[in-house]
Amino acid sequence: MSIWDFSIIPKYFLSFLAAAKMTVLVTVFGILIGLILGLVLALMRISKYGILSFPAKVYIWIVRGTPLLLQLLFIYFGLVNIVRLGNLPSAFLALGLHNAAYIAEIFRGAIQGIARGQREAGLSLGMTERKVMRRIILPQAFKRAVPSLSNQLIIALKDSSLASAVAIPELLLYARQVGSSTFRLMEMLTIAAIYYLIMTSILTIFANAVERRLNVSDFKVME
Amino acid sequence: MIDINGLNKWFGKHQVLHDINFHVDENEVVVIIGSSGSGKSTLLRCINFLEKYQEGTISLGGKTITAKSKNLHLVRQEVGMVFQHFNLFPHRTVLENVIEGLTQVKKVPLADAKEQGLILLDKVNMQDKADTYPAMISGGQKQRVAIARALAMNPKIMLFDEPTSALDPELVGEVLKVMKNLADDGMTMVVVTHEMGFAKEVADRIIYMDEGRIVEEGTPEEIFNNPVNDRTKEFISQIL
Repeated sequence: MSIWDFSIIPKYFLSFLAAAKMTVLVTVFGILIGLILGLVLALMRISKYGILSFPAKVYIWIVRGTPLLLQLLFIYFGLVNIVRLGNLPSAFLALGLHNAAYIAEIFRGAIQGIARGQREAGLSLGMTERKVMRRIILPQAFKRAVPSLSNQLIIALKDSSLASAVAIPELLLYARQVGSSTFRLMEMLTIAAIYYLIMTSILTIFANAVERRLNVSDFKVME
Repeated sequence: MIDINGLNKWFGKHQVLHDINFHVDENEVVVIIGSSGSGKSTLLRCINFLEKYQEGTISLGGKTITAKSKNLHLVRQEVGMVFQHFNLFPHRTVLENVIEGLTQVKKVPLADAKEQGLILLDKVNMQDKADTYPAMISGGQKQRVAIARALAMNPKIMLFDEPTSALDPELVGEVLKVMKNLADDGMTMVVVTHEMGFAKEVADRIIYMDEGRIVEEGTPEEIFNNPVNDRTKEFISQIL
């Protein structure tokens, strides 16, 4: 038996579909939680009130300063005494809370990158600060954040493999399981790699399309 | 229409406005001149509270506002502002820029707002560009759209902060023409500008500022032909 036998790949390829769906599920929930919480954190972070900005800073400091795997184990095993979360909700939550910290910084950078004159123009029309943020700043900031967000989305997709640590049957765990039962680990990892590549490629194409679509108003570079 | 009393402003320890007192009557066009760093833009920005000030009061149409007043957005609804760098909203078309205040602040229904917006764009001769984005028009066109956007709120006063300073020379005229038309229509205007031709022709009164103080004010005739203060004399001789 050779170490590497590609001929068996087609035979097992489709059996990975359920695991791929699980990977997508964990990623989607992780990113959704991350986007919502990330926006809230970003707005807190740029607030002039310390009571809002300080907790956001601390949160981002802790989450970005510790590994996702540790956070996942912390939530899955550590929260048992308070609330018993299943492994799937734990993975959603861990990936979501983790991504929120990074997405908050992406949004913050994008918001602060919008020229001061935009805010002033909105205010001079008699808008409230809140309305200026919602109508003028955020639409432009979202657009600016798209490249970084799509990058983060791809990272999240790959990070979802860490969910295997809490026994979620996503791509990587499934590949290892089938690999050990067939003694064909390299081939099974190859299949998982192909799935990951297909999914990240789709995301990249999608992100590029969104960017192009949003660039309609930037026909010429703004000063 | 505008009454400013005892206005003092500091940036940190540096005092940028010293005991400013002036008023603007209804239908009056006041032009503020002075060299860079004289505080003229800062003063203008104080009038609609884009700059905070530490001492003094500003009254707009009888309502007095102090440095600590709340609900500034209600005051700003009555004061139009035109910026040096236009500050059009790049994610909205020309028409959407003009009607943003109408639909979002005044809650005018979209169809009515569009109708009014097109009339205003016609007034600044930009109706044919209604559906283009700001990135695709020239600086002069942008500034005319910005004027229409400010006018849409039907302000009692229009403030212009060096409206032509960022424009290529050949585009200055079209913007000044729109401003002159506004003045002729009786709009109350305060204009910070380096365009002395405009100041001479359109201003009812000219204020000369230097180092954060109002040094001299008077009719264009007085300021340009018979300035009293030595610093005014020097400034006028340099620019003419």
